[in-house]
Amino acid sequence: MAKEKKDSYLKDAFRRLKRHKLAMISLAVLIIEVLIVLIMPLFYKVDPNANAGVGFYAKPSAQHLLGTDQVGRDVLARVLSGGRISLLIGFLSSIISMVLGVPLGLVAGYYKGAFEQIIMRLTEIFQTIPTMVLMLVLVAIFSPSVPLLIAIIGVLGWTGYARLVYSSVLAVSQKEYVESARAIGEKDRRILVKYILPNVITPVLISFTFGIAGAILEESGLSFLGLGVQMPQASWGNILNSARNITVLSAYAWCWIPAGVALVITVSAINFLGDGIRDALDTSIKI
Amino acid sequence: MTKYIIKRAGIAVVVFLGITLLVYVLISLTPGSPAEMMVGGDLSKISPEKVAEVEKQLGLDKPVFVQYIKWLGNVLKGDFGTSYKTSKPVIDEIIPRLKPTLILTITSTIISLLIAVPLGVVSAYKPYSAWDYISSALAFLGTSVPNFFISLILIFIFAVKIKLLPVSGMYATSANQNIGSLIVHLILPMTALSLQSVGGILRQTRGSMLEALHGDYIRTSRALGVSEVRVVFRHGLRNALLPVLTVIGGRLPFIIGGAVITEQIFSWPGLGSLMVTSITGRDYSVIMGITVFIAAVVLIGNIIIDICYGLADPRIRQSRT
Repeated sequence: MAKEKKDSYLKDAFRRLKRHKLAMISLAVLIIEVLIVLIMPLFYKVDPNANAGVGFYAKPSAQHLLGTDQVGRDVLARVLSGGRISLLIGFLSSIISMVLGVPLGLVAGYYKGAFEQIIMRLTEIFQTIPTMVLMLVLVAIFSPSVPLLIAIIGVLGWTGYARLVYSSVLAVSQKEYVESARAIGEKDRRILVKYILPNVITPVLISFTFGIAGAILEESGLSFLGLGVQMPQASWGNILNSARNITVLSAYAWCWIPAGVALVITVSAINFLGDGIRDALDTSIKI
Repeated sequence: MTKYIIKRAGIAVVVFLGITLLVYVLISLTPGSPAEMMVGGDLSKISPEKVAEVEKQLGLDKPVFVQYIKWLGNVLKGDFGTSYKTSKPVIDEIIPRLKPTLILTITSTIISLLIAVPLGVVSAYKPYSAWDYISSALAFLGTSVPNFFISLILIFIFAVKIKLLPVSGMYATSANQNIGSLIVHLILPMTALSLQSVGGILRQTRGSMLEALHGDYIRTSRALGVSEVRVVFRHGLRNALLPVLTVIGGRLPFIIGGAVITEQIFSWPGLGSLMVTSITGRDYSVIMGITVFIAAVVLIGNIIIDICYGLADPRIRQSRT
């Protein structure tokens, strides 16, 4: 019975998501994009980190579709390689944030007392100090590298999930089925996993989608400042860094516009998809 | 009301101590001690005794927590230590940077409110109208386009293509610091920074305005024949603005975080630029000092918002907690 109901709920949600045109277009864009950054290097065999041998700032041509950059590297190869890194960092760090934040929110909301005080005060501390500033401090302490960026962005993202889950748990804990589970002597852990967790999954999933977009933006911001992904490895952010040179900005648009456009398309597609998922699951949460 | 403010201020102090302790401990984890940095030069030529001596001088041989308490005591006396790089007192590095950052962040917050609130009200008053779609598009632009990309585009359009606005610094010359020059220099960074907040504020205004316009008191006022303008602005907007205030409070850290990048792009001589220079130069005492000021700016901003909240909402004003 219960399973059947769950299936129909999911089916219903999918049906509603499918009707959401913008979300479906965004999903298609994202799938195509992931396929392009993963598969295209198999066909477009140009080293993103080596001089392509056609000089600096070469105009786009048949051999080098997006031309070359300030040190003669192929821009298209760099945008593809940068895309892999940006998507990887966005995805993995969001998973870390979720894995850290969800249990902390559950514990704070369910056990209350000291847990609630400590965890919620910690979220306030983390949400007061600009993430950008804390990330910069961490980057200054440990030299920036891709695993470090994933860890930093991931760890600093826990507060959103913790607060979200915390407030959902507070609402759910009052429900009769949770109280009756408690009354018949179910163990806390079982109540948490079996009765409470399923109720918070929907908002967490929505947050996770938006979280990936946020993480990609944070990584690109750091890389843009030269404090994120380090050369020679490309990332959309550090490719855009080259446009801080006014000559590149004004005369060599192919060096920076493609990375910027890729970044904007990706982040908007993820956000539109998140909007669609939210509408489809039709929860009462506000983000 | 007074009790309410005192309570909020109390929480702010706790959060402030938490932030500074967190950053202090993080910085103390740094490989390579600041003493080595201060002694400077080729590390292999410096005797370990010399390093130990400087460490003792700086109190670095004590446990981190003891160091933190000592540092905090000094900060309360206005002593933020000395920059490892320039050997100037940290406070002298920071104070001249404070005004530019405040000018940039405050004006962009005001501009984003001026754009977002009216659009949000119109969108909520006529949902699914052309205005509603335009404002959703604008909101999306703000949330999905990183502010550094917006900045680059703005520079490309307004400084390179139509040579209209300056792209770097705060004044044309340091000798001639007039307000006209400031405004001209402020336009681009302010626009870039405000766009990133428009989305969030707009969505919140639209959402809470929609809710407010469905309230019983709105129907009652309309039934009583109160003019539509009065209904929307006096009864609707006033209630809808409370959640908007909360959103601005929550956005303050992002505005300052965004300012770090924006200042860097436009060579705006504020705390953000100083932060990036200090990070690149690993000037930890300056980094620590900036953290204190940024945390203070955010916390004071939050208290101001809490007070506005209290003033706007009689339920809080009259409560005794």
